[in-house]
Parts: sequence; structure tokens; C-alpha cells
Amino acid sequence: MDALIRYGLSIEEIQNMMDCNEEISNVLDSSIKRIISILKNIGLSDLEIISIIEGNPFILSRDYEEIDRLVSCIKKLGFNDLVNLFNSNPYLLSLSCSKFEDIFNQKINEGLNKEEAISYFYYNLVM
Amino acid sequence: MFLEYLEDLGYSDVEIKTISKSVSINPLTDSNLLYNIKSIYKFFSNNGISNNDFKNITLTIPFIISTSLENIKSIIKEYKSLGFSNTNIFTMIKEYPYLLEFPVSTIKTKYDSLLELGFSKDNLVDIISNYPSILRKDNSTLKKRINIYLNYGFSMEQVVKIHCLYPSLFEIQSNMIKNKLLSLEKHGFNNSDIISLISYNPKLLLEDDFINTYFSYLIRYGYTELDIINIMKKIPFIINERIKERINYNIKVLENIGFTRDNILLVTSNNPYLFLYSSDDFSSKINYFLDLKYDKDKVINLFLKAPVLFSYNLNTLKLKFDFYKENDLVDYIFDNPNKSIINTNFLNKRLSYLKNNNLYDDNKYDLFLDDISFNKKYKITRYELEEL
Repeated sequence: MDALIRYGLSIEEIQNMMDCNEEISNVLDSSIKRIISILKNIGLSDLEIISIIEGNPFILSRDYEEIDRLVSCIKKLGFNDLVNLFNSNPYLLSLSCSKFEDIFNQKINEGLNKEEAISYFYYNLVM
Repeated sequence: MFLEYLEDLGYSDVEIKTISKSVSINPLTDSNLLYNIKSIYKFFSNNGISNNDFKNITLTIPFIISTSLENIKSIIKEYKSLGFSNTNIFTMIKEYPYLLEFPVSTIKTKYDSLLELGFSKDNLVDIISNYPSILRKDNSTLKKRINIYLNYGFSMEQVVKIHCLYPSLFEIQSNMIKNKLLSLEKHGFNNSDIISLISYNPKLLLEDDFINTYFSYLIRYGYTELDIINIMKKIPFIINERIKERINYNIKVLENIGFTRDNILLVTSNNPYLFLYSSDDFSSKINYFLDLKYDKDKVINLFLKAPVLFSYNLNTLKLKFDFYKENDLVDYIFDNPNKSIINTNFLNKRLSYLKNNNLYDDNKYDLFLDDISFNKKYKITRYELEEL
């Protein structure tokens, strides 16, 4: 938990996150740091990252390689503004790459073009 | 003398008969058997095996009495060389005495063949410690079963994880695995849903009626089977006794705040993370708005129609609403709660763009247009706005 404390989260905030996702207590600091680093590389600020992980504490117990794959997958689909995407909807970071693609392709099958499908994710709660 | 020793150890007449049938007891073998059992008993006892456990071991594999202590020690040494601790080994032997059946040469071969299936050394220590009978399983059968998962789309890491979490999965026959995957599809889960669900809850492979087994309390509250399927798709980790208590509690807290049952069914179906959040946490967010004297029904409606708001921390919510207040957009947001998902920084960029081009005053609600419509009207994309 040192990694979260050093990152600026209060004990109460960390406790809320652990109440929500008890697996966090088993996660190594090194893994948390890697996940934060992935989010920073996207362009998210520290305050934004804190808000995201508080909103979706399950991100922290994910394998950081899965998150990395998800980010690559989202970029490949044509999303360029990941900062606003994850700020608007932190739950997206819990999806697997294949799940994200499934939802995206479902929108295409519903008749949206690629641009519209991308836009959909910024304006609707997708889980 | 050997049989008398067994009596001294507390073996019943029936148990002594069982042993006698399995080992050849005659005046020539009697002293050897006595020597063996005394030395084995002492060795096991020094390693934490109780009297009862020892009896159980000898009744399960009576041949052990005819085995020399050196033989047993060499088997234990082999397990140690594979990474098992002393405690592990004797716990496994208590649970599964057949481990002592394997000659030393076959233990390593069996272990290596399990490594070839894709399990790591650390995984195997955990798996075999929890499920020692895997050493008896035929490798080609295990491989066939593992391939079913891999062909379905599970990664090897996921296959290893679910078997470490729940080693009894090794018992499930190939047909049963396939039928179970098919049955989950019939419930409406797609391939990636099923992989997620089983990764979090391998027990689902053993359940016939998971809806009633795990969610009868939600059905009683008013959720339909379809609601539950949709919730499971969104939070596959919902199957958990501890979470059940949290869910029941959070539902009560929402009722106390003023959400009706129908509201609760709707808002939690749309954002089931609400089941998992600390009730103090989500209460404080709603109370923030109530303390600002916004109408309670409007606040409830806001969170009902924009359940993503529960995912923003209080600071983020405050920043959002400060922006709406400064720009006289609060009423608009209460009337159009779904627009609150749009990130405030992005709205600020649009605001600056419209103001700089003297377009804002007549078109302020265009801040909330989707990307396609905004681009059509103002000929600027999201990415171009971000670059400004």
C-alpha cells in the first residue's frame, strides 16, 4: 500500500478502495506502480489517475500487461483521446481487449460507422 | 509382536485384520515388520503426523509397512527437490497417502510432464499441495481438458489461474467442460464474458443453477434473470459471499437515501459497481448535492440517469458542478443527466473555442453535442480541439 500512500491517497481513500476490492491488499507495490505508469503514459494527470482508481479500484488488481494490451487495442481501433475516454468512464479499464472489441463491433453491427462507434464511447456509459 | 504393536497404537480388531490381509505376517517377517513400523511411526510422528493420521495412512496403503524407512525418505527427498516444503509434503501425505506409492523415478517424470502442460514450478507446488491426486491423473486426459479451454479462448495464464484457485477442476470431464461452456452461452453470455466469468469464478463450471445458487436474494428483491446476467457481464467478480452482504447493505442505504425499489433495480443494473462501493462513499456524493440545497428528487434522478457519477470522486464531482454553475448549466444538466459523462476539461476546450469564435452565447448547449454533430456544425474534431 506504500505505493498508493506515496502517490497521494489518504488512508481513508485506500480503505474505501480495499473495501470495494479486497484483492488490492495482495497486489505488489511494483504492480501498482506499473499500472500508474501506464496511465501516466496515456497523458493522465496524477489527480485524474487518483480519481480513476478510486472510481474503479478493480484496475489495481488487474495484470498490468492486460491493461497495456487493452490500451494498445483501444488505440488500434482508432481512439486517440484516451485521457478524456478514461476520465469519463473509468470502468472501461476493467474490460479485456476482446470484450472492448466485442462492444465496438456490436456498435458497427448496429449500423454505426467507425467514427460514430468511437464517439459512442465518449458519451455513453459502456461497461 | 507386530500385531501387538498395532494394538498398542490403538488399531481396532477390524483395522488389524485389514493390515494382516495386506502384509505377509509370519515368524520370519514379524520382526522386520515390527522394526519397519516402529521406525516409520517415529519418523512420521517427528514430522507432525498424529496417531490417527498414521493409522489412516497405513490403512489406505498398507504396503507402506513393508517398505523400508530409507525408501520413504528418498521419496520425500524427491518432493523436496521439486520445491515442496517439509510441511507441504506431510500435509499432502496425510490427505493423500497414495503419494508414497510413486517410486522416486516416476515422481520427477510426472512433475515434468505437468510442467510441459504449461504450469510453472510455483503453480505446481500450489496445485499439487492442494490437490495431490493430480499426480495420478493421466497426462493425455489432462492435456485434452486444458486444450478445451485454450481452444475456447482462455490464455494459458487463465487456465493455470483457475486450476490454482480451484484444483477440483481437474476432475471435470471433457464433455462436462464443453457442456458447461455451451450452457453459459445459452444464458446469453458471449465468449469473452464466459472467459471473464470463469476466470473470476471457476466454480461456475460445477454449478448447474448458478442464478439460484448465488443470486436468489436478488431475485427476491425484484431483479430478473436477465438483469442478473447483465450484471454478471459487467462485474464478473460479483459471485462472493462477502459481496452479498455488501450488496444487501448498500441496497438498504440507497432506500434510506430515498431511492425507490424500481430506482434501485435500474441504477444498479446500469452501474452494478454501486453494489461494491462503500456506502459512506456514495452517500457522501449524494449528500454533497443535497447540502447544496438541490431538490432531492432531482438529485436522485441525476444519479439514476447518470450512474457513472458514482465513479467520480467528490473532488471531480465538485469540479464538474463548479463548471456547470459558472456557466449557468446546472439546470441543463439536471434535465439532461446523461451529459454529465462528458469530461469537464473537454467541455472547457469547446467553451474556449466557441467563445473565441463568438459562437458561444447563441449555442451554449452545443457544448454537449456528440463528436459527429459538433464536427459537422463547427468543422473541428475532438483531436483538433485537444491540440489547440
